[in-house]
Amino acid sequence: MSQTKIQVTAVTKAFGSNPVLKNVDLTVQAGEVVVILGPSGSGKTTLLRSLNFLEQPDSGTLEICGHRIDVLAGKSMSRADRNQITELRQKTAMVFQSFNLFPHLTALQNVIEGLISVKKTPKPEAVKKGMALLEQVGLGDKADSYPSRLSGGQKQRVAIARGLSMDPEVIFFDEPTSALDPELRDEVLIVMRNLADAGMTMLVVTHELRFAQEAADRVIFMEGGAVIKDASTQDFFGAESGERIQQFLRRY
Amino acid sequence: MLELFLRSWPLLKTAILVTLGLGLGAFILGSTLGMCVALLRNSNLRLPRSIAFMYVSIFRGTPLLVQILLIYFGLPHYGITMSPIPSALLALTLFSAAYLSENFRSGINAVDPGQWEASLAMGMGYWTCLRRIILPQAVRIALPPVGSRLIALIKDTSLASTITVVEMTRVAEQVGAATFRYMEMFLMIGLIYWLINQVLTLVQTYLEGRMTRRYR
Repeated sequence: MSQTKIQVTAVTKAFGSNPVLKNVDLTVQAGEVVVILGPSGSGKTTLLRSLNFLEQPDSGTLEICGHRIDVLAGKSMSRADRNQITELRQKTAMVFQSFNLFPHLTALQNVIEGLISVKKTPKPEAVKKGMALLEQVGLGDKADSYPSRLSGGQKQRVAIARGLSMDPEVIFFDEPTSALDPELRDEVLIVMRNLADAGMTMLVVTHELRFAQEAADRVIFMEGGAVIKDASTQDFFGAESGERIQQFLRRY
Repeated sequence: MLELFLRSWPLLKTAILVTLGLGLGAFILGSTLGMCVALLRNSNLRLPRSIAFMYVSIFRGTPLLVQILLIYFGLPHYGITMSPIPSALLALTLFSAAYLSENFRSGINAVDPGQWEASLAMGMGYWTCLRRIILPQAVRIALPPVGSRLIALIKDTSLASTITVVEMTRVAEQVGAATFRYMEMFLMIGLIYWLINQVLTLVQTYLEGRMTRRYR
């Protein structure tokens, strides 16, 4: 059964007089891995951040994991909308370019913070789950390390484990490897590949074409605040994807 | 000087406790009030923001001595009469809260916005995020200026002598007047103020080291 996790229609967003999202539509089915590509400033990160309302869209309809919010231009959010946003945030996870680990907490404490303070999971149970997740991303031995003692790749893997701790229905990745040097990228990409293979629904903004090619089911290409191509990975990287896409792909 | 010290010790002993009580009491109350003011000042809403702004403007912009005198001599005109120690404590609290709110605010604002985003993205509420993620980091950043504020506050308690609070400065004045040994008395309490603040400085340094360890 195919279930729609993300259904977004006509989302617009401007920073001042500068439009960054122009009537963007996007649909993601359960289990899909969708990669968003595009040049800098194309609006891909803003689109991703609009989906969990870290960025407030100006207008549009967003239905994320069964929570529907209609954003009307010039109208502020109702309390009911804000509740919907909190709930949808609990069903999604986000992995950031700059990791955003909590520096005053150990790796394990980072992973279980959401379980303890949001889901009110009892501590022993949270610790057990947290340890299992750290093992899953290959960092079982770093549980008691503070983020300042971890490499960039290790930090990002902790951040992924932190996201997974909440049993998300979808994970958003916002350029997860852009702050890492090439040697550290692979350890993060391998973890992401494993998640994709395990059937996790993922929406990934990235510049890693190889990851897109190997792991994505679909590729979305954005430019100038609009989606200009939405195709299966095979078609996107195929010869028939169009002049603009070919031009973009040649540069890498 | 030692003999003078021993003679005035019974008076000094109580006076030191009053000074410490006023200083630390105003610091605790002022920190609580100051934190509230800092949060109001950071609010999205205009009204709380302006209230906090005006509060800081008034209590930071006027001399502490004037505030003490207003509370002790001025308020009785409106039927509000307070004894010297509560008057001094109130003035010191209101005054220090204005400064401390700015110290806390700078700490809160210095925390990477990504910390808010990571917390909100997992569905954490504003207050939980503030308490568990932002404030532990903000307090560490604000510790040096807050420590300075506490030290300044200990010294500011000497102004309470103007409204007959028998704290250290007042005792020195009294004993000085009775013995004509002002020089020695004021040197003595100067030394005691310095000693107290030296201890506080050591506490601050210790806390700083403790809180910074995990960031290295």
